[in-house]
Parts: sequence; C-alpha cells; structure tokens
Amino acid sequence: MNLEQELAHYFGFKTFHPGQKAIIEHALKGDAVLGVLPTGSGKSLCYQLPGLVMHRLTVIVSPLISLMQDQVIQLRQQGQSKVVALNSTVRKAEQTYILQHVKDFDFLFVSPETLGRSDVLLALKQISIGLFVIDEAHCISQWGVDFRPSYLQLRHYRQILKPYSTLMLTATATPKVQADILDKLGLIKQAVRIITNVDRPNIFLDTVKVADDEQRQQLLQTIIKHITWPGIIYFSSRQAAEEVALQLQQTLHIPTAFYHGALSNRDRQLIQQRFMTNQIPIICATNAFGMGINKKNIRFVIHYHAPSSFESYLQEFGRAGRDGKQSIAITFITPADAGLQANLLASGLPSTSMIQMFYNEPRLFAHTDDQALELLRDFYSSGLEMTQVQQMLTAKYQEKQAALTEFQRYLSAATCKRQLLSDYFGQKAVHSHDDTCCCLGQDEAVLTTLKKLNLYQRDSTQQPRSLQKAIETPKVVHWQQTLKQLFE
Amino acid sequence: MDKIDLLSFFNQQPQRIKPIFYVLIGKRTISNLLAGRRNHYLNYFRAAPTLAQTTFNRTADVLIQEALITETAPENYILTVKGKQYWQDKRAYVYRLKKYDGLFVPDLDVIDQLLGLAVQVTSNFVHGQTHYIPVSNAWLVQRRVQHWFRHYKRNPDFAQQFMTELAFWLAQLPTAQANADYMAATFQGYQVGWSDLALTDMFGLTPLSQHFMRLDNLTNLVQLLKQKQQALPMIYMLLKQAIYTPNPISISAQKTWLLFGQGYPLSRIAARRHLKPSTIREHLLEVALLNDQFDFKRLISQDDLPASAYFTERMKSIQEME
Repeated sequence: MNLEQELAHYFGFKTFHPGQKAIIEHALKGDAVLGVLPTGSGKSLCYQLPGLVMHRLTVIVSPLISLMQDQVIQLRQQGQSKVVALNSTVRKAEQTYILQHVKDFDFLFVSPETLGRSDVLLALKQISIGLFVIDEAHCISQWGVDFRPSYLQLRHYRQILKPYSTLMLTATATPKVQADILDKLGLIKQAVRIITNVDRPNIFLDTVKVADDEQRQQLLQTIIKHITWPGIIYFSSRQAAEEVALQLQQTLHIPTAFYHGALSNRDRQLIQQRFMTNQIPIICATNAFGMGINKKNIRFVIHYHAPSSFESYLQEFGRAGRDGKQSIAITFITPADAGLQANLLASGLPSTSMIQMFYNEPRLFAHTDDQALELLRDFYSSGLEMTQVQQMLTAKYQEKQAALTEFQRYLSAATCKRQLLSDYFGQKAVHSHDDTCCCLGQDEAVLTTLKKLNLYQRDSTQQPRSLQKAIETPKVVHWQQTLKQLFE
Repeated sequence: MDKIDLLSFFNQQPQRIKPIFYVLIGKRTISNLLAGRRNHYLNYFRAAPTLAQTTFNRTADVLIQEALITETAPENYILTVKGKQYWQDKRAYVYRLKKYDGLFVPDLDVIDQLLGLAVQVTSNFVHGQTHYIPVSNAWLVQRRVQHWFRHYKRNPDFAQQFMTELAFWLAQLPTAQANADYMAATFQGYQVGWSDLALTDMFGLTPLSQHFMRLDNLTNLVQLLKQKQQALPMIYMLLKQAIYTPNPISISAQKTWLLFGQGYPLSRIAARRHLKPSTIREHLLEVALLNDQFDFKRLISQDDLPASAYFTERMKSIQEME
C-alpha cells in the first residue's frame, strides 16, 4: 500500500508531517503505538488515515465533549459521513440508534465514562474494531496535570474489545508521563514509541514583564493595534476575558469576541464559526477555547495571564502558525501572577472535607455543577476508595504546584526559552538560538520584535483585507428582513 | 437564572421553592406535579431541563436575602411588598409562557435543532458557502436534515418556498413581545446570527425568558403543523417525525387506569400487576392530576385498600382544583 497515495486520495496532502507516517505504518501492522506529536502537527490524521484504509471501525476515546464535537465536525467537513460521537450529551434515542448501527460507522468518538457502560461494551464487543485510539493519552497518567481517573479503566476496556491495533496520542508528555501511560495500559513491553520534537520553530516565544494590570491592559491595546491578526488572547478568568474583549471592541473598534465554558453551545458554535470565517479576528478566551480549532492562519497567541504549566502553554500557543508561517506567542508576567495561579490550582480541587461529605452521601451532589465535584464524581465512578482519592488528590496538587514552579522559572529565565521548553519534555532543541527564536529573558520592545518578525502593521487598514470587518451593532430588525438576509 | 425569572413564580399564596425547580427540570413526582398545578406553573414542566440546582438555589437565596420573598410558614414563601415593587419595575424583562405546556408537547429541543439546521443549510446553500460549523451535532438530526435537503434541493425555488413557509408561521406569532422578530434573529445562516448576549441586548429579555419565548414559538409551530400542514409542506416533511405528542400519563399508570376503568378494586389491580398498593395509588393520583376524565366517584366504590391519609389528602386537593 502506498501511504502517500492514500493521503492524497483522502486528504489532498502530498507529504506527511514528521512522525505521522511511522505511526500510521505501525497502526496498520497491528501494533500498539504511543505517538507524541506537538499541537498543530496533525495528530488526528494518525488515526483518520488508517481508520479509512482499514475499513473497520475506529474507536477514539476522548476526554472532552467539546473536543469530540470538534473532531466529528472536522471529519464530516472532510467528507466522512460515517462519524459519530457517543457521550452524555447525546439523547437517549440517538444513543440507542448508534449502538444498534455501530458496525455501519467508520469512526466512533466516545468518552471513557460512556465506553465503560455495559451496553456500549456489549455492542462494541460484537464487532471487529480496527483501531482503538486513546486521544490525550496523558490523561491516564497520575504524573500528568490533566489526570482523569476514568482513563484508568481503559486497560480493562481494551482487553475486552480486543482491537487490531492501539494508538495512544498526546501532544504533551514528559518521558516520565510516557512511561506511565504505557504502564497504566499494560503495554510497556510491546508498545512502539514515536516521539517527535515539541518545537514549533515558526513561533517566536516572547515574555513581557508588566508592573500591574493597568500597564498590561495598555500594552495589550498597543500590541493588538499593530500585530498581524487573527489571534487568540488567553485568560485564566472568564470575567477578565469578557472585560478585555469589550474594552478592545470599544477602544480599538475591532470585532472581538469572548469565549469560555459558561457560554451556551449556540454561542460557542457561533463564535467558532465567525473566527474560522474571519468575521471576528480576535478572540479573548479561557482554556475552553482551542481544542480541535483547526484554523491555519492564527498569527499570535497572547497569554494575558500566564498558564500554569508547560503542558498548557504548549497546547495553547501551538494553535498559532499551523500554516508554517511566522507567528508569535507572547506571555505577560506581573508580580501578582504567581499568587493568582497558585490560588487557581487549589480552586479546581476538592478539599478534604468536601471529599468526606461526598463519599458519605454521593447522591446529594448529583445535580451540582461545581468543577471540583465533577472531578470527585469521576474518581467515585472509577471505584476508588476515599483514602485513595485523598492520596491521589494530594499528589495531584503537589504535581500541579511543581509544574507551576517549573513553568514560572521558564518565564523569568534569561536563557533561551526554546531550549528550556525542549529540556522540560526531555528533548534536544532542533535549532540553535537566533533572532527568530525567542526573546531571551524579557522583551523590552515588543513592537520592535513584531517589526523584526514581519508581524507589524502600521494600523488596521494594513491588516489582511478579509479581516477588516466593521463591528456589528445588535439591533432588532423585522423578521421579514432577517428572512431575506438568510435566503436571498 | 436571573432573580426576576424566579420571582415571577411567586404571589401572595404561600408556596414551597423546591417544586419550582423540579417542575422546571421535569422531575415527575406527584408532589411536584401537585405543587405545580396548585400554584399555576405546571405548564412550565421541563421548560428548563438543564437548569443547575446550584444556580437555582443561589437565585432563591438572593430572593430571600433581599427580602423579595418571605417565609410565612416553614418552607413556604410569599411575595413581599418590596418583591411586588421589584416585579412591577422589572416585569418587562420576563416572558411568561402562554402556549407551551410541558406535559403535552413533543420534544421541542429536537424540533428546534431540526429547524435551526435546515435554516442554516439552506441559507449557506443559497449563498454558495459549503464550509460552516453546523448548529446541531446530533447524528439523527443531521441525517434527517440531509435527507430533507437532498429531497428539495433539486427544486430551484426551494429556498424561496422554505422562506414563504417560515414567513407563514412567523406571521402567526403574537406581536406584543416581538416573538417573530426574536425567533428570526435566533436563526443562523450565511453571515447571519446573533450571540445570546446580543439577543439579550436586542430584546431586553433575560436568557431564560428568551428560552421560554422560543418554547412558545415552537409550540405554536407544532400546533400549526397539526392544523394546517398543507400550508407548510416543507416544514411538515422536516418535522413530521418529531411532532408526535406523547401521552403525559406514564405507561404504567395507563395500565393501572385501564384496569380501574374495567371496575377492578385497587387490591386486585395491585395483585394482578404485581405492584405495591401504594404504587397503584400513585398511578391513580397521576391520572387524576393529568386527565380531566378521571372519575372521583368511582374511586370510592373501588378503593378497598387500608385508608391512607397521604392518598386521601392529595386526591381531595386534586378534586378541589378541578
């Protein structure tokens, strides 16, 4: 089989990205493969192509519903119609239909919790599964900051389903996490590891020190005025994302939207759509935005608040420059950030008393939508005892704290940032430091950096034409006029 | 949930807070149904199935803290003078359901998704746009719309025809709170579509009220399709499988009622159905609440079970509400 021909046939590409071909070849041979590929390097293609070539069902375990939905949309847009997601948001009637017709699909995206249901396992056991994919495989590792207890059951499910081959994919896994992934899945001896470099040479790594929030806001406005669009600005709080989006829109008159987990599905879809079609050039978002966003021409990612780990940083800035063109990742640092991040670490984790209350009467917490309780429910449904959960959460907190400290060291370091990033993931830096690599320490003149990288625009009229849109002011129009806009 | 949304459920009649939440999310117990019927909000059944309990409780706490409602008996609250004033000042932000009755409507969410996707697909088709994020990811919804679209797209006037049918429906909607303008503004198509936040600014309704207005509009559409389907052939074709209205009485309660109708005493029904006598009584309460054909007189002659104050009291309340 000529894989390049298949690639051109199904996806219209001529060549593979580094690591893709090797992973696909192993998957087609029936091996278990761990693939570590950076964000934006085409991880999804590693299961999409073998899935299509094998003509057997590919089951993809995915941790987030939004990620599943994005991947389903992407595959359907590529012309694959037999793609479906099965998770708690899918209506009961539809779930029944999917399970009754599961053999007719090419790709089934499923959450680990749904996969563990007896009816789901039973339906899948009766058909021949070609490829079993564990996406975001680092979620299985207790050493990883994104540990998901429900992922621990995947070893058992894999044994029940007996797939032809198994693919574990992640963008962020240190050697310790890689070993843990394979250990937890019982594949430490037989699995092949394909590790590609996390480096994204076309993204300039920049950090900017600001005294306080006021200075940060002013500098952000200056940057947005002159940087090449489109781009994403990441925040650690929903409120800040909303406030800054509004501010940019009012002061700079640039269509700007905010995006976070509290938005309705309808709004999320609408904002993604507008960003993808260049109607909105700037998005102010929390980390809820981005997974599965496959917009090639994002020129910048700004971290208004610094992320809390290398893993998050890599995932988020990796959304820039997927077309291979020069892009930039700017991270603001203020003296207050360290404390803020430390507080945020604790806020998403349940306290000891909350764990005890939950374990005494889990039913009482069935209707609550708190993030910490959601995590507890995940632990509880994985069959873990209270003491185990307490130990694991303590370890998770310590792990997160260590990751934060390590990342803060990176932000304030005066050496090559690309080198530090590669070191953290246990890799060798591919390129030696030069002018397009990073800011070495702190950037004192961001606009000069933008000019140097050819990402500077004198004003908004110099921005790409497709992005020059006027802000739409919401006003009620007669329904007949709306219908005409829609259909004429 | 805004505090004015919850405040709109209160008046001078003392009532418990929790049943409001359970009716809104569609939790079907006799006590919730009874509270909903007694306090005139049973039509809100399942009107907000995704409402989080924490959000609801937080809103209820604010109403109490701000003295907009007050406790007159344990767990029973009424509107205060301050609450009444607040309601007068803010009532324009609230939409109260007029058409929708949650126990007697089909699954409006599916109808909403089918219609929204059909509008999006047609609008983008008309403008030659092939790449967009669908408003619904549900497999069955996408499949249904795909079939519908394939069926009609060969007709060069199909978009115009679809628009005419939508216009026929929107023209029937009440004008007092701009129902039709709102409904049209929620559609998403080629370079058309507003966020929820923008819709709030435009129409001055709370997000929950917008949702209620949507339910009313869709209920109107379902009724229209049942009465005048020939005027809306394309929309009927799209939604015909989704407009079936299920019986509000549970299947098990229907079986009990059938035997009751045949004259069996309650003890015999329980024995025949291998159910506890208390379950049989729950079924009869359900039927009495949801079906106005229920014969209360007949109950006296057929009830041979040991007396139950719980049952008698509730049955009496239902009878008084008739």
